[in-house]
Parts: sequence; structure tokens; C-alpha cells
Amino acid sequence: MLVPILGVWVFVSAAFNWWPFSGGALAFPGEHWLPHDISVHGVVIDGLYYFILAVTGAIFIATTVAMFWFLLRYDGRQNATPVKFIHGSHTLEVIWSVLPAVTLLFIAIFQMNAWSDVKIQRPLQSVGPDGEQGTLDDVFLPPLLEVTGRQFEWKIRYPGEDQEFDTPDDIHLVNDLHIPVDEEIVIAIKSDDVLHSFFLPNVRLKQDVVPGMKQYIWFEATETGTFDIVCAELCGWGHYKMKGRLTVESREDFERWLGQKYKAQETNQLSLELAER
Amino acid sequence: MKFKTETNNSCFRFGLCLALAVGMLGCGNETLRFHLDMVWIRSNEDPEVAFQPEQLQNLSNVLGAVFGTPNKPHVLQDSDIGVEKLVNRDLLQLAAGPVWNDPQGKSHGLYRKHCAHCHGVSGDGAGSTAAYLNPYPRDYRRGIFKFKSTPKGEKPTNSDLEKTLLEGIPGTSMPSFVLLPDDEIAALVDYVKFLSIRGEVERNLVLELSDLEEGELLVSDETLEDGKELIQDAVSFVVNRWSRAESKVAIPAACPSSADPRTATGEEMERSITRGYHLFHGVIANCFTCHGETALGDGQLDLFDDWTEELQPKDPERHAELMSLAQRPQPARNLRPRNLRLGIYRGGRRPLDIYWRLINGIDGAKMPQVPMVDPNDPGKPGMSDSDLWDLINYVRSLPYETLSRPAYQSQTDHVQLTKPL
Amino acid sequence: MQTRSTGSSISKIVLAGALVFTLGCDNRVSIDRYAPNSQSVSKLRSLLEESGDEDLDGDLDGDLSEESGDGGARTENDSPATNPTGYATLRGQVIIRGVPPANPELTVSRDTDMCGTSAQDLQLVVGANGGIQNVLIYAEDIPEAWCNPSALEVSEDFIFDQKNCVFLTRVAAFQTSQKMKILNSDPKGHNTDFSPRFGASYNQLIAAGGYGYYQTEAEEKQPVSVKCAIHPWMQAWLFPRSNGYFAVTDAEGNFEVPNLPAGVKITLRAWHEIPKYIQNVTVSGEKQKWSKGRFNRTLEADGVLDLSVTIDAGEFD
Repeated sequence: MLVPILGVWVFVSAAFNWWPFSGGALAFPGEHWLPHDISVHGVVIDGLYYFILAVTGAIFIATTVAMFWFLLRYDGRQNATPVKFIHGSHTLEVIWSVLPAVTLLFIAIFQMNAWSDVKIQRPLQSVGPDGEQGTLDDVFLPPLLEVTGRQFEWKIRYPGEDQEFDTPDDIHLVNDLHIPVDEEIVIAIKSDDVLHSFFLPNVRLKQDVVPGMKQYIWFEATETGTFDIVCAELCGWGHYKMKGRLTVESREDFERWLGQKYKAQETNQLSLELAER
Repeated sequence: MKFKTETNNSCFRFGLCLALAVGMLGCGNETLRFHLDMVWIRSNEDPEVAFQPEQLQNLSNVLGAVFGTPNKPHVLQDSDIGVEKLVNRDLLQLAAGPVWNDPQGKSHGLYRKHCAHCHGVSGDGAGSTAAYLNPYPRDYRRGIFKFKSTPKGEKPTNSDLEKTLLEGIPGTSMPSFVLLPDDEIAALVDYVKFLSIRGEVERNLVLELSDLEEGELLVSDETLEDGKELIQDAVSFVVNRWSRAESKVAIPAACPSSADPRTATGEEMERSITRGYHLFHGVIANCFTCHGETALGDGQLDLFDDWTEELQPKDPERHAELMSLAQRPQPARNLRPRNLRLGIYRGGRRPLDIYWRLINGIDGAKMPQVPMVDPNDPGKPGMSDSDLWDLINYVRSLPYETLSRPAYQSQTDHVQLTKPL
Repeated sequence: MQTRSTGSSISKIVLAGALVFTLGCDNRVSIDRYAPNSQSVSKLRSLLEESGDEDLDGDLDGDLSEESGDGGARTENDSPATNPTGYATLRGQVIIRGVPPANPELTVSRDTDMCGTSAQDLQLVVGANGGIQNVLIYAEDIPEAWCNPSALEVSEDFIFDQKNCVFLTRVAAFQTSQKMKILNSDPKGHNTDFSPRFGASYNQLIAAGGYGYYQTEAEEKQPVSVKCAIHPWMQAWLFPRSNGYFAVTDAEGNFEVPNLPAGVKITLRAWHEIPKYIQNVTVSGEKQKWSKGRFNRTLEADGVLDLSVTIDAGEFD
């Protein structure tokens, strides 16, 4: 009895921001809706989430109310009429099969673009000589950096001045990821050891990182500031340690920062190291 | 609901209590404390006369008096010894004790939150996850740290330890803690120093103990003054070593602009790298003997590092005993010279870091200091400052060197490079 | 049916409890059983931190007030009761009794052209007369004021050489006033690696035909092992001392320590690589126990004490 009542209460109080979601004793701390969104595509993802939440919420409340109604309406102490058993109703079965099927199909079709934008259609640098998108001569936007998951940290590598990885001017960092704001960013993600999941909550981006497989993720951040990087796949005892920091900043700031990091990496004098601190 | 009779309920409650009782056995009936270094104690025991329990109890009391407990670390109040100049009392307390957050949201118990599960409460490198890691976590109690700006035998500076915390140690399980606030990093550095001092003082006291006559205590009512002096000497010796670390930092000679990747032309860099290639295979630097002809780290595979070597007495029974006391699974792991082609540099990839590895050697890991030329004796074979930068450039270029490059002619042809190419 | 289900649920709970027991707790607590005793800890702490005017309770109180606040004059040696009446020589011979055990064979794993293909680990070298080589005899805790000038003023370099992957001196002591010059007479590189407890550590690559210098600021209490990481079978022992009161037995087992302070009781110690401190000896036919290698002697001024030491071969197993 308690479970459906609590369930409905959670839904309603969350929607109207009542206790325990705000104020009062034993209230849940912090924000209970999705974290602040800083990405271009995030609004679509959030919209889908909220749409699905609304649909499932409405169905959940309706089902619960119906169940209660039946419980009360056919209480044995108030009803002397014997129970009548129905063995199947073709019409009802068609209705409760077709309605969800249509809803699911709708969601599947409705979200297709979102999925394709976020996960399939990697941004292009140019469409190639033939002037047509989706052909073999398309040139993909090269990754700005590479993130490698390792028990238990995120290794970050920028290609350096020559824009090429695996050259001596690569810039190596750990857990500290910087990107320019208002630009489409591609990141190559890899794993050194086990399954990790590279998760940028504020960018609405989460991708499993598979050992032996190089994948690309892309997004555009619209706000400057620092945000979290977390691992969303239980990757071992130190999984909780895999926290990183995403800093979104202006192109100038980003380039200045990257230049500093390169200089720091080439430090060959103690005085220079002391000056850095 | 009918089947839940009275008997059943009481049975259930009894079972729950029993379960809790069984579960709690062994938990919490002993407070958390720093443990004695039983490996070291065992290794320094007279083969004929074992240490008496009273002697070890006395040792444990002395250590408790000087260093306190994991919940309440003690900074010895003796300005002549000066522990308080090395570790900050408040920072130490921030790092020690159980994990909790104060109402202002400040984290306490940092060591147990971030470090203890690998490095152990006593800093013995035998925390609960230690056995699953390769390499094993560092045991601070020897007072030896590998990646530092000071030579073998000297202690790391604060900034060396900070760097290790901030950047982690690539290629090992030590992660980066770059996102922790500055005061938390400082607290952890101080706590690691504290544990290391505690461990090294303990080791030295065990050596003193092994030099005493049978059954004699470090300090007793009869030997009060001598014992006090012995303890003070042991503590101040280790503290002095830590205090002088800053003055032992190796300051690199200037790097000629033709060997500095930021200023050298492509051609100059190439020449520098080629000179480094010959130095790597020469009989002055001798890098190839351990790191291998192809720098894959396969030249010398049967050594142990200083921590593991201690567990390798010739007697197999004793060996097994020490391994189990140290909580290291068999077989003991050999020391691997670094594979220089992976581009993973445990102590950092900056030229400065590699300079320090070469000029200081790597403490605890057999890597020697390179021999340098002597300006007063032109006949002495050695490396010049510019040779060092060439060698550093070659080492840093190794991950990008093509593997199809033929091996250095042959082992007998290792030449001494006298003239720049 | 009911009883069975109850029984099985209890056993499940107990099982879960046992699981908590094995997984949840620090199951390593019992490595040492010497938890600090809080009473002794606080007593010791006040002993160590006493500033002079604190009154200590309990039995550790003792006679602290005498020296409190006085930084110097703590050691007995600063104000020796008696002074030496002159100088004397201690000499003797160390002989093995019985058949010496064979030295282990070494595996020469590299540079066989230079190091040879096989070698013996010369831990125990016994001369034709049964004399044991490389036994170290030294005097312990001699105050500087007692020392003969000849035992202090040594400044020439102490030469430490290696050839054919053997340290030419297996066991050697030298004075902290001396510089140690480490040579490499081989055509390939060696590294000389040792970590004294009190003095500076050393691990330097000695280039072929090159050399390195080592100087230490402190004397050691025990001989220090010297190794070469490139040729791990190489072994030597070094012993930096602040005075010259030491000797290493020669091929016949003879040793001589001249100019020892006479007329005062001095403590000597005997050490060998295998048993470390030599404890069971026969001196001039009389069985003696030298606890931790220590034996005390009071020498007569200008006299010569001849010590004939015999050690059972069993001590070297």
C-alpha cells in the first residue's frame, strides 16, 4: 500500500518542488532536476527526458489511481455480489498492446535526430571535393584532444602545435580538461585497462570507453566555467576516484592555458619551475 | 501473514542479533593503531636470541610517546629536535583520524579517505588493496622516495611530494590528486612525511635494540638518561635529514639553446638526439646495460628494489616468513628497468625531471648517478652538461623513434664518444 | 515446513554475518600484538618533552632533575673517570677449527668476456694455516680525547678498486677523514652502490677506466654492504670509522691494531661477513662468549696483547 502512495507523492512533490525536495526537516539536499545544461544539444536530450518522464508519470499515476479505485470499489465487506471472472477480452488486449506500441514507436522516431546528432553524425571539417555530405570524401573534424581512461584517472593529451598526436610536442595532462567555448569539440576517447564511461553531466554526454577501441564524442559548450568529469561505469575499487574537471573558457584563454602547459612540460630549469608556482 | 508466529519472530530476532554479533567479532575490539615493522624486527633479530616481548612492548611505547596514534598524531615538543618545523600540527590533524566533514564542509581524515586503502594506516604500503596492485604501493617507512630532486640517501622536498600527489605516477596505480584544494595537498604531504619519519625512527630504534645486550630495553627506569638520549638522537637524526632536503636539490646546468626543443632548429635537435643515441650506448653512461640494447627495459631483469630486497634472505623459510609478514604474495616481483619507448615517465616527462633521474639516480631502485666530467682532471671519463641534455633529448625521443632502426652495432662496439658529431 | 524455513533463514543470516566478519573487518590487526600502553606512553612523553620544571609522577621520575635544562655533558665519555695511561697494541690471529664450508658458486649472467664464466662468492677465505681472512676487529666508542694522534690524522685517499667484476677489497674499514676513491679497472662500466645508515649514500656509475670520490661525514655502527647493480653478484663490505682503531685480518688471519689507549677498559668487536658479529670463540684455548661480538680488554701501556682466536667452522655455515 505504502509503495504506490510514496511513488505518486515523489512524482507530485518533485513537480511542484514540495517537501522533501525543498525545505523542512530531512529534506533532500541540492538540486533534484537535471544538472545545469551547458551544451547545444542538451536541450533536445533534456526535452526527451522530460517528455518520457511526463508520459511515464501520467501513466504511472493513472494506473495507480485505477488500482486504488478498484480496491475500494470492490471491497469484499461492502459488496455482497459475488465476483465475476472474465477470461480475456480481445478488445482490451488490443488496446493495451497497441497504445504502448504506438507511444514507443513515436518516441523512437521522435528521438532519431537527437541520437544521430549526438552519437552518429560526427561533425565534418569539410564535405570534400564532391560538395556532398555523407560521401566517402567527407573530412571529419579532427579531435581537439584525446582522453584515456585508466584505473583511476583520466589521462588527457592535446596534439600540440602540429595538431598531430604521437609527436614530441603532445601535451600530457591528468584530470584537467580545458576546451574553448562556443565551438564544436571532438574528443577521442580510449581506455588503457578496463571499461570506463566518460561522463560530462553538464554536457549531457556519456560514452562507455572500451579497451582497445578508439571512439569519438562531440559537443559544443555554450557557457564558460568549471564542470565535473566523472566515470559512469564501475571500473574497479577506485572508481569513485575518477573525477576530473572540465574548464570551458574563451578561445584566447584556452590557447594561453595550453601554451603555458606546453612550456611547463618543457621545463628544464629549476628557476623556471619555481616561477611557475 | 498467518505464518509469522511468535516463535518465528523471536527466532528471527535471535538470528539477527547472532548475525550482528558474529559480524562484529574482530571489528572494533582493537583500536586503530600504528603497527610495528615486524619485517624489520625479524630481519634484525639475533639468530641466537630473539627479541623479548618486553623489548618490543617498550619500543611500541616509545613510538607511541613520540608519534601518537593514527587518530591523534603527536608532534614531539622539543625545539632542539624540531619536528614541528617539518610538519604542521594543524595540517597533520586534518589529514589524520577518521573521515568526516565539518559543518563548513571541510574534509577531515584525508589520509584515510585518499591514501590508506593502498598505503596502509601505518604507511607500510600494505593497505587492503595493495596486494592487487602492480607495482605495489610505496612503503614510506624506509624513508626512501624514488622521484625527487635530491640525490640518493637524501629526502624529497615538499615540492617533490606535492608533484607526486598532483600528477600521480603514470604507469602505476598512483592517481593524480590535482583537483584537491591546496591545503589538503599540503596536509597530505605533511602526513606522509610524518609517517615516513615515524617509520624510519622505528627502523633505527630496532637497529639500536639489536645492538643492545640480550633483553635490554631501549629505555627503562634504570637507563632513563641514556634511553632518553638514544631516542632523541634517533628522532633528530631523521628530522635533520628531512630538514636539509631543500639544500640538497640538484640545480641543473643551463641547457644550450641548440638542445632545447623550444629554441633548437629541427636539424640541431636531430644532431642532439644522435649524440644522445651514442651516449646511451656508450660505456660512460652505460644506459643500455639495464634499459637494454633497444631501450625496451630488458637489460637487467633479476634485481629487486630496496623494499623487496629486504624480503630476500637466502634461507627459503625465512624468505617465506618475511614475505608473509610484509603481506606480499609470492613470488617476489623483480625490479624492471623502465621501458623507455612507452612514453610513460613515472617521475615526470619534463626535461628537468629526467635530468634529476640522471644526475641523482633513482633511490631505492638501483639506477645510479651518471658520472660527470671533472674540470680539474681532463683524463677522467664522464659526461659534460651538454652531454646530459643530449641524452635527455634522446630519451625523450625514444617513444617516437622508429623500431626498424637497426640495433646498435654490437655489444663489443660500444664506443666512448669523444668528439661531438 | 515452518520450522525448516525458519532454520534456513537463520542460517542465511548467520552466513551473512560471517561474510561481514571476513570481508568487512581489517583482518590484519594481529600482525604485532604490541599496542602502546597509554600509561607508559604518557610517562615517556613527559620524559622526552620535559622542560626542566615539570614534576613527573610515577616511577619513571628517577633522577631527571639533575641534568634537566643542561644541554651538554650527557654522555659518559665526555668526562671519563680515568684517562689512558699510554698506548698499547692489540694483535693476534683468527683461526678456523674444522673444515670450512665451501663458498657458493655464483651465476655470472653477463659480460662473461670480462668477468669470466664462473666465480665463487668469496665469503669465507681461509689461508693454508687455517687463518680466516676478512675478519674485522675494531674498538667501539673510543672518545676522541683518548685517541693517539696516529689514529686520527689519516688523510690519504682510501682506494677501492674493481677488476674482472670483483671488488678488490672484500672487507675494508677506512676513516671518515679519508676520501674514498672508487676506481674501475675494467673495460666496461660498473656502478658502486652502498647505503650507510648515518653517512651519505652513494650510487654512482663508474665509467670504464674512470673513478668517483666518496666522502662521508659520519662513522657507521656496522659494516655497509657494497653492490654493483650491473653485475649483481659483486659484493664488498665497507666500514667508515671516525678513528683508526680497526683491522682486517690478512690471508693468514693476522691482525694488528696499534696505539690503542692503555690503562682503561675498552670494548672491541669482531665481525665477519657470514655470522656478522662473531659470538662464539675460543681465546687461547678458553671458550668464550662474545655477546654481539663484543669483548672488553684493559691494555698495559706500551704492552702488546696477543690474542689467539679460534672459531668453529660451524659458525660459518
